Amino acid sequence: MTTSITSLINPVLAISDANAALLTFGVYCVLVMGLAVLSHRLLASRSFQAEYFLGSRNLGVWAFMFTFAATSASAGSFAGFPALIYAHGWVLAFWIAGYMAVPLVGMGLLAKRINRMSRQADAITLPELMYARFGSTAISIIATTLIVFLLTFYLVPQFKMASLILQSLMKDAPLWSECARVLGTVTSKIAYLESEDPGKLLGLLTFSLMVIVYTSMGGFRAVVWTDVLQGIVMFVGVLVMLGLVLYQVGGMSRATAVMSEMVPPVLCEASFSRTDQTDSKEIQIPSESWFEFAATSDSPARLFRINETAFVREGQKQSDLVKCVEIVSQYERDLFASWKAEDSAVIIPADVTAKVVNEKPYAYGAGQKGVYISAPGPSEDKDFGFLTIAVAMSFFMYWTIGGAGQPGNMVRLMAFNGTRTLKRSLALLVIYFSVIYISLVLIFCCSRLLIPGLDQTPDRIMPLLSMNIAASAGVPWLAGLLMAAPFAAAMSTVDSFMLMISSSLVRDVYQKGISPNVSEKTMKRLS
Amino acid sequence: MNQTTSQSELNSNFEYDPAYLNALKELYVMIGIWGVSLVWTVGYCGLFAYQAPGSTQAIPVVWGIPTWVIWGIVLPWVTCGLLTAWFAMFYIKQDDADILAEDFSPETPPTIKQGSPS
Repeated sequence: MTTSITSLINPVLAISDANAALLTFGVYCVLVMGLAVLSHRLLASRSFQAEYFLGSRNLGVWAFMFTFAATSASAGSFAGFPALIYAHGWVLAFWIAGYMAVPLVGMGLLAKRINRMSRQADAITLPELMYARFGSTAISIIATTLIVFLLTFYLVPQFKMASLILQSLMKDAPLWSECARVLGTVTSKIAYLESEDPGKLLGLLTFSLMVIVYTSMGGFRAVVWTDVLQGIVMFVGVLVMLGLVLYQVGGMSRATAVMSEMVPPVLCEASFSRTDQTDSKEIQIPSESWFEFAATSDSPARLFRINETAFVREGQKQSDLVKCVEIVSQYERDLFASWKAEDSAVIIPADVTAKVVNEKPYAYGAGQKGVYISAPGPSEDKDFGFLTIAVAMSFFMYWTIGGAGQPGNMVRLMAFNGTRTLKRSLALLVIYFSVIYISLVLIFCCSRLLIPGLDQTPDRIMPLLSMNIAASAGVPWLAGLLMAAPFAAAMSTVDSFMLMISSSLVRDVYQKGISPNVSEKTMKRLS
Repeated sequence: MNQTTSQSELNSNFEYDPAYLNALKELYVMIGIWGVSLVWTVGYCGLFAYQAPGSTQAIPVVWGIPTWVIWGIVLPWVTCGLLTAWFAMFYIKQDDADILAEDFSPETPPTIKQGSPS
């Protein structure tokens, strides 16, 4: 179907003062680096390996609780999980329910035993602990290999999320744009990178440099201290976000009432063409733009929202296909109508036509009211829905029992300073996880009401919602704090895993296998 | 015969480490809380959260939260949290005094070895 675009409204990203958000975010980053410098000073006065890799095994209640919680929370918690809630609704409460028992099993099952054994064997790394327990070099080598290999893959989404946040926050800053432009001139000459967005690459580079610098400077202590800061930022960020979201949607009752009337959109792709073929200048149509097809005699008016930026390049007549959704819920159509009536930043490129192809209704839930507030939840491709009972039960076991074996958490179990600390940290962790995960479910159920039509790229909902609600509340600086929460989650996971990979390679491979008499100075350099 | 006797003596003299026995007791309680939470959550939600395809029946909601979430998720979550807090504060035994006494931080010299024949 091809027809003229009747309106095109700017995406939700508009922020009255992006600099204020940047400032808040900058303060957070400076605090993180400051903690790294402090821990680096402490490191100089203690035994290098025990301090660098395990913080001298003396974590107290708050440090142990926050580092355990922050390491558990990753980009998955603040990007993947919100994206799933946005896409499937209330059923995600069932999906995440296993977290009610994660503190109990994650700490209760192995903490005392691991802590005792690691002290007895003077083990600093997990492979060392495995060797001490089973007396087998093969098991130790397998543990090292698995840690290095699997954790490297686990790091990828953390970098992606962090890059996305940096890009969302900084893309309007002149310095950032200039740096991205310069980087783009370099990467455009590299075959592997030429098609990548320079802004995204700059985000990856900045995040990597920051984490590598503070982790290598301060080791485990820096990671734990920043975990405490990051844990606090996550906790405060989520609570502030919950308050703002509930206020802006008019309360949870209204949000769920609206959700109960919503039906899943139709997924599709769109391309844009010039109507004036003689004009050759580039046309950019931003992601989250809307367009309508006017009603005809045999078809009602149709409303679409694109989920990617479309470019009609210079000299070309048509853009590439971009992801797009057709909005079919009345609430979302009414919301668009009100935004259109407000005439807020409407762009109508009269010289563009849209073509929608590859229309695909949801396999489960299409046209079915109530699907967002009940199980199994809507699904794009599964005709039995998103979450069957068997899968829900599997996830309950996975979060609890699987989570107990997560290497990043197991290392922390080696580092607390006694059972007294364990007892208190366990009780506090119950409160922490309950607040974080239940709040996230509430926040992102409401997010459908504030940012409709993001169904093809829902993993951007966290940064978009943060910026949107802060701007709507008239406190743009708050966006920096809200965006720092998912950034902190990604950062705290990356730093912990980087340290684990480093310790496995340096201590377990190099020192144990290659050069047992290696000097402390060399160990420092290698780490 | 001698062998049987010495095995018997060995068994009668054998004592489990209290830390191991405590860990075993804690494990049973932990599995109990975990199991009750699992059965409650999956059982209740399995029965009441699922909507048949094409069903037009309204989902009951209280305070803006579907009732299956309140009874099947929030309530077991709160119960599990309270039991975990009880387990942490009153049930877990502090049985690591021996190992903490033996342990020493790296910056503190191991005084017990000072003056001993090398």
